[in-house]
Amino acid sequence: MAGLPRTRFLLFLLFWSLLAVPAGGDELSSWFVADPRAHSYTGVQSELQGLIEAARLQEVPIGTLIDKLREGASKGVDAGRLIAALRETIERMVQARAILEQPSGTTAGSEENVQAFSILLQRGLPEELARELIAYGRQAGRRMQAIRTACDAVTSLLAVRALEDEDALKVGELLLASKLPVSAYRSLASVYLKAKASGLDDSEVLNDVIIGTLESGGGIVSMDEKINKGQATKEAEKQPGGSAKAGDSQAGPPAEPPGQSKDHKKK
Amino acid sequence: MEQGMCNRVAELMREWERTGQLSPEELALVGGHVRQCRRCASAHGALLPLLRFDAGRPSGLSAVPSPLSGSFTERLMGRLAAKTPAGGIALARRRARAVRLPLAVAASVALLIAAGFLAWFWGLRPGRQEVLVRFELVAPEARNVNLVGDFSDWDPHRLAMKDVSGEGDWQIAIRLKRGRVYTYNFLLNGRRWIADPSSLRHVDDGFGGTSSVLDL
Repeated sequence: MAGLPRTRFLLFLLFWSLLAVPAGGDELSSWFVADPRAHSYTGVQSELQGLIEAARLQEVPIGTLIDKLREGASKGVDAGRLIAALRETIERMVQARAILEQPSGTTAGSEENVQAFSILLQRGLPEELARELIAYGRQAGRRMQAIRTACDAVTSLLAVRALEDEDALKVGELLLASKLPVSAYRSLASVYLKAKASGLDDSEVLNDVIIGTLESGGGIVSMDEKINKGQATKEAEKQPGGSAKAGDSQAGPPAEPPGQSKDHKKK
Repeated sequence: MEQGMCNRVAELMREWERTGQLSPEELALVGGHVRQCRRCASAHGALLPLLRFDAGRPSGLSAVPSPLSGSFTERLMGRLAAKTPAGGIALARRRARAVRLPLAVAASVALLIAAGFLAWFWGLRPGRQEVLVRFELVAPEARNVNLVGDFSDWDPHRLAMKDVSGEGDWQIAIRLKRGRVYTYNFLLNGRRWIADPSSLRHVDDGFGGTSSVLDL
């Protein structure tokens, strides 16, 4: 008699697990049933189903793929374009998953991380750079959220300036090694744009403002201060007899002796 | 002489501590001396009720077993064993089980509540997982603007933006989950899809347009 409740409980679990398997495995059918926008694509449902099943075998998060289908349906694209976009999304996600795989064989990361890295790759993050930053971040004991955000910062920087891979990697590593709050990483591209708008040249911005500040343990505020200082110096240099020169005259050699004029000098 | 009595009483008290036994005569001796000797009264007076109990005399105090005495416990257990009827042990076990089950359930519930509270406290509560995000678009030419993205299942009608100034300053604030990546567009007049001009993060949407990316 004592085993009866236990048996009932196991049967209950079995029942729910049997229900859960098809529910989780048939998102596409659910979309076709629930969303009127999907009706335009009933002709290619089996093809879409094939792609989704192939993606599932490669452990690609299916929710993101269904989102892509919804997006295409909302934007009213034709079936051919929808299939092509789905295929590209799957390829990128497989690639992102491979990047997130550790050589030691640990888990590839959450659905969010796979999606995030697939978007980063699409935005132009080089695959090798992503791998190196992930490896560095993991070795440094950083959380995936921090690594992801550092990759995002580097990608945004790459979007506004053509960085050498070496420099991009250095910036990413410095971010991960710094004590900056993770949310501050995102300001890096804005800092770069502000520095450029202030008249600083590329190498000054990258080497002095960004890399130099991070190396010295500074953060976004220090970068901003450097930009303002650099801007003030540039403006002073532009003005004839500007403040920088005035300062020099005060600290420099003594002025002409009394009674001697410039005319006299010319003589 | 007085000192001799004090020593004798101290000896009797030590004997009582060791064996838990005291004869009525010895008790009378101790009691009589403690009443006369102030020093022994302060040393042993408080133990007199226990001495009386062990000497078989009625005591004014409730029967609290002394940790110094093994005899009381032994006697009590002996009496309990004598009073337990045949089959009493099985009944007692059943009763104990009946008491233990609700206790275990109550303990589990308490544990779950405690774990839930800790999880909530350490950042798993919805308030910490979500963040309020404000989207803005300046589009004076638009009659209506909708925010459409994977956070709204790409439903073009779900998130209508509001022109807060009446001059095309369209805004909306929504709660989104932290740690997620979202792609979105603005939909102008129900027809024109545009990326967020204020965002630096854009991707080719694969449909001939561009979407904006928001990584929280």
